Amino acid sequence: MKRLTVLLLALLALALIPATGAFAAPAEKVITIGVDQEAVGLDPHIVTAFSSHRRLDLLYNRLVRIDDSMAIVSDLAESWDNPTNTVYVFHLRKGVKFHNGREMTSDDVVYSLNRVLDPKTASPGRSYIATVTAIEAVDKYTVKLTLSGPLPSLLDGLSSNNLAIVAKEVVEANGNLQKVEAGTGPFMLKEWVADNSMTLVKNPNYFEKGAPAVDKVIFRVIPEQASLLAGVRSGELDMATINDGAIIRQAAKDAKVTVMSKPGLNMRIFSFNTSRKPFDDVRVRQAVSLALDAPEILTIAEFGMGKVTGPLPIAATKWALAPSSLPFTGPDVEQAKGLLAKAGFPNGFTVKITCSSTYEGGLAVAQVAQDELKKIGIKAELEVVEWGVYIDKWVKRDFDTMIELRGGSPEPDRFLYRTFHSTGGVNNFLFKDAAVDGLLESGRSQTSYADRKVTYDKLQYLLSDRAPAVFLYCPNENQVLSKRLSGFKLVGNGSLYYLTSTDVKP
Amino acid sequence: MPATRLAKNSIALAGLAIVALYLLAILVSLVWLPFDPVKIDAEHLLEAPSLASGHLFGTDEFGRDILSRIMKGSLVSLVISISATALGSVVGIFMGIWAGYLGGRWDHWIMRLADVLFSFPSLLLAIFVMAVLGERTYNVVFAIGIVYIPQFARISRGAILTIKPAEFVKAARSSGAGSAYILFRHLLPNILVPIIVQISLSLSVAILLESSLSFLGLGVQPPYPSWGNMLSSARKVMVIAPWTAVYPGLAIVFLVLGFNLLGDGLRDILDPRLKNVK
Repeated sequence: MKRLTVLLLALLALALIPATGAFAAPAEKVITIGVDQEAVGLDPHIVTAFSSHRRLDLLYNRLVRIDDSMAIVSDLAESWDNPTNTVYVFHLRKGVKFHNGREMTSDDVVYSLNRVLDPKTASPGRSYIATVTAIEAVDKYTVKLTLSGPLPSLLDGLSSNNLAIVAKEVVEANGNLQKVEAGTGPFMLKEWVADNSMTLVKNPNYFEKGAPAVDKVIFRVIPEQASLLAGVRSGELDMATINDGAIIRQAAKDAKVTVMSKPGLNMRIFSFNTSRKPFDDVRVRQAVSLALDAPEILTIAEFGMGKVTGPLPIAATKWALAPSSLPFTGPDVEQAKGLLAKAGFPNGFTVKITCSSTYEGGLAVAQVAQDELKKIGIKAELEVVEWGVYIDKWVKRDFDTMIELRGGSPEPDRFLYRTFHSTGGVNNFLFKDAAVDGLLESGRSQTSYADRKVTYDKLQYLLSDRAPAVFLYCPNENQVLSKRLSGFKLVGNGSLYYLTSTDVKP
Repeated sequence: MPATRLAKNSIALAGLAIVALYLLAILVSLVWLPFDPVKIDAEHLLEAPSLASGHLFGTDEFGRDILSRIMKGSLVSLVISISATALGSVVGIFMGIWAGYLGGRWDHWIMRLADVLFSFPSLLLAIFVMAVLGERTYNVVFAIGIVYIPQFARISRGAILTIKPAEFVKAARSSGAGSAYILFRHLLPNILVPIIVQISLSLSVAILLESSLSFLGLGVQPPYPSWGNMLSSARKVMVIAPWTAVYPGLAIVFLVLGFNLLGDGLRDILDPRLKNVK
């Protein structure tokens, strides 16, 4: 009831507020973007929330960035050399200015990376460059990184907002950057009204010629996804980030708006607690993997808005193998029943699926999985818990099976090592397999793409076969845009970087 | 005769007819349903109501038949509503009549306890009880029952207080009758009218409470249907498939209306003070 009231109020508010900005000053080009969550903070080295990262995309630059085809391209570093596999030398752009007018130099890069590596900062980015042992400013525009061992995922790690380059004096004046910004990005923070809106204005000194194309970007927080769509339809918003498949489906039928969708890097998985019976038996896990019909789950739970995937996000095209080429990707009810019988469960068993009714919690996925498991005699009970309890159970590994949404990466090492290595930080499956560990370690130390490709191909086969989790699908990243916008491109990680080149018709 | 007065009271009759229709639907659902209410059908997601497909009320986002789910859910809703009202009324009446009859310190403490329960909004109290007991279908019965206890306690205590000084009570006591005998043979039958009316109204509120709890995800757990959780999951798809919300909503509205009409009618029929009111 409460959400419904909020929705109605939001709709009413949208109807009452006269269109500001775009119509008030025709000379000024403004893009208003609707999002469902407020940013938690703005310090690039600290935040993990998706909502914060979408603002950082526009406020900061990194040494390198990921483009819309998931390739690593130049950002603040114009070029880089890799003389040995433990040394990287970055050549910075000249004349790049921070928003306070000072020029960005190699000292700022050294300061920023050291701040991330400092355990006191507690940066999530620390693990991405953990093997970096020395950061030196060779001259004003050259930075040299020395590693304790090869780390092929280094460039991918450096492309994260968590490794953005910041101005030292602003950090020191404010303690941290949660409420202020100290970037070089295409837009600058002008005004932030918590839980309501954030206004960014064009950086006139941005290093890319002619960019950004618009004068202002305004983020508006509207929690209800249906109101976001209504906002784009009415022209109050120019663009909105929407996850809900039902709303996207509705938007796709609407001639007034453009829907951009792309398979994202997040991955929906069905996790096993491999330390609990009967999931300590690989045959039981394989049987469940065969019973689950990923395309059907995708159709029902996500309205088909996504792509089925294997152990690596299917959008990481350089690495990911198609699920159809991997073992134990169902559905094959007969083979599954056979495996269950061999494992000593000819009549199935009873099991709990832990889920939550938030989008990440995957209640709809759990319901379809429950129905599919019935076909091989497994009686699944849904344990639908509140989001806080869900997180708690995840942290404590207190579950039989669980529906999860994992944040993936285009770089196999960054995603797979932390997830499936027996010492991995987010190995909630309590999965221990010497062969998997071995492949993960060699993938980390090899440097040529050809060698690594062979290793990660093997690993994808092995993970499908050992099945610590069933890999289901990657939901799409979606943006709903007004027809007035042009030049925007989606990136699979959800980045709004391309607002830099987006133009708006008056 | 109450029966003939019932036949003349069109409001009560309408209420009775509605409730009877639901009871019939439940009886039918025990032996036959148009479709399996929990069977997921990827071929028929969100189909509009149509005679040709056999989905008279359409299908939901999992391709499940909405009519079958409403019928299956009506059993759950009604059983929960009746058992919760039974629990609340038995415990509440027992507390209320003893408090009213014994008076003094007993009355004081029992009614203060009721006041404490009363001071919570009923939905909040129910959510609290569910949080303590855990999200199981039968716990909804306790949650709603506990909400009802103080209501029944107050009504029955008030009624006892008004008839306790009556001559026939004194007569019974002077002829040597014990407290329990007087309470259950003489007093209780005389206060049944307001209690019966309260019961019929409580049944309808219990339906709403159960739906609210399920809507919030605390009542009947998916995939098993209840009207509340059907509405809750319909919220997402309401705009593209309005039938997913409209029919479970109507099911709630009509049953609550039925109980309310029946309760109103019963009050008119049974209340001796309204006997001569045309």
